Amino acid sequence: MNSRERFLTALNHEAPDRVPCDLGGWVTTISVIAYNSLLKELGIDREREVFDWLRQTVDPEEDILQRLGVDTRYVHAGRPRSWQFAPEQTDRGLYVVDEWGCGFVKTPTTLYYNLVDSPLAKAKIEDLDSYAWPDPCDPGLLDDVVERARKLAEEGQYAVIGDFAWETWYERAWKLRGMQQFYMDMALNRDFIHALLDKTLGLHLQFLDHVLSACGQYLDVVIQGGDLAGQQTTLMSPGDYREFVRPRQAKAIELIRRKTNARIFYHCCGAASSLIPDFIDLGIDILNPVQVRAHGMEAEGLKQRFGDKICFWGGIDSQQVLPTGSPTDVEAEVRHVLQAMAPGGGLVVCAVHNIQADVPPANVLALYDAIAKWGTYPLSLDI
Amino acid sequence: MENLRAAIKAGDQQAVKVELDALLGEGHTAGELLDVMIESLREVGEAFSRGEAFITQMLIAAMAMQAGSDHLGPELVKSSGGTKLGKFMIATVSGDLHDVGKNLVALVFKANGFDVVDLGVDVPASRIVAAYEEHLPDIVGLSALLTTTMPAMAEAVQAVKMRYPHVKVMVGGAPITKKYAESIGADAYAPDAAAAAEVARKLLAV
Repeated sequence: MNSRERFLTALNHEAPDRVPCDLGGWVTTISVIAYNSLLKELGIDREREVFDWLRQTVDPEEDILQRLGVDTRYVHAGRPRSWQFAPEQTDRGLYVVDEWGCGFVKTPTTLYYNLVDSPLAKAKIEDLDSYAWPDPCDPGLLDDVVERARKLAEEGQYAVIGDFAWETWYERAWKLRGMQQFYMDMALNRDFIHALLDKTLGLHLQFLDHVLSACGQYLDVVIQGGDLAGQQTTLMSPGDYREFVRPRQAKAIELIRRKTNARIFYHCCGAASSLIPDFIDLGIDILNPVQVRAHGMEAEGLKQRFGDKICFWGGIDSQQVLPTGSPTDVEAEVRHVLQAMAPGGGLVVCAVHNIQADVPPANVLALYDAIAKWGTYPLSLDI
Repeated sequence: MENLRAAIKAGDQQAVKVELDALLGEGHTAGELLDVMIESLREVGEAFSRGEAFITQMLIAAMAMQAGSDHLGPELVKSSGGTKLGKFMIATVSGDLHDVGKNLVALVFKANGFDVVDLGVDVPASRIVAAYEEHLPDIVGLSALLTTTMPAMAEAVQAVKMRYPHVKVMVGGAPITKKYAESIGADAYAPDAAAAAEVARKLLAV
């Protein structure tokens, strides 16, 4: 069984030879600091450049993916031609305005770029049409996409993942408005939120149409997302979710289904358990990152309630165990999550979100070594 | 009074002002009205802690409460028996630029009748200590969203406590737990903004 077969079997809710694992996607990769420490730990004399400037993460290299036993390979969208990452030194720190007009700062003390300027903070509905939106069909976005997707699909060795969240239409909307204002508008200026989300979703659908028309047939999974929950609860009421978010998720899913047979991966951090029935209804195949330390997101409960209807992707705690635990703690956490979620397939295991800069290389190795050691079916995990 | 409560909960700032004027006209004191608004916000906060209200409802109710107390005017509130509960200073710690949680805590404290000093985000320990000396708050609140900035939170707690052991320090934020709060020498932890105001009242016994 190769990686792709293993992966697809697990996604069919069947037990493959071992639990598939992941590293390298938009929200399943690793910080440049943690990655370069890992290279050093492995005695590899080179350094990797940042791939995602916003999150300061890397696109891991093939030898590392093989060393860690990773079953996925990514097709990332290219860089727009109309915009270049060119941060300026300002009194606030390194400052950059992205292709959407949002301003981000990285100070000497911060590990990544943080949103500081939201260009639509004071906008009215009538301002939206005249705003300088980025081009969702910028030819740069397809650079290397089709060639890489076709090559990976033809080789058939690894699961081919289309990393096409494009920052997500939902998160882009609040970045443009400012998070606090966005959530207040959700109660007090509802029409504006509808208009703004229509705009960002419309652009996202154009992007998806563009990119999936080019490479949809080669993909096993398409990445989508948008955080809808915090540590304790969802960020909005169930009613607001069903009014503002769900119908738009449905539109994106409908388009993806039309363009490709790939499974749909949805990234939503936090205490999202109350939304999972909606996700299942919508036809989302995979939930990521399974933030197990958030309220109501314990691995056992999720598997029991939803394990036959949706797959889980992630699950290894990054709020406590990975940054502060020992390698032995990491191994115990892996065993625990495998025990809870791996029976009968339906699990792709990796860290909850990107492996952060504070995760020591010994813990990264412990994570993937434990998956290799304990992830073989039939599982014998009793602790 | 019921209309005032409803207006706070709906976040309707205009209606809050209209109701306040009407109730003042009927002879209610500003202090009495402030108490009603605080109580209404507290009910929203309790629903938030139970997972029955969300950040939207918390934000708009706290902003409406703020607008209401601004409308009454600080002097009026003071002269009619409204009292400040104490002074609360808050910061997101060094390396962390997240402010929504911190802002919500600041709003809820203000609305509950605390004087609030908000130092902003990415605030190093040295600036927190200096601001303490300048403002002399009763409680210092520290926020962090990232695991990578939790050490900066520990450093800030130590910096404050080393010089001013009696100062009450409260901490919170997504990755923070009660156990972690205890391990870094903080006096209290709260899982959310509404709970934080209650914890602060208990800390100060007000």
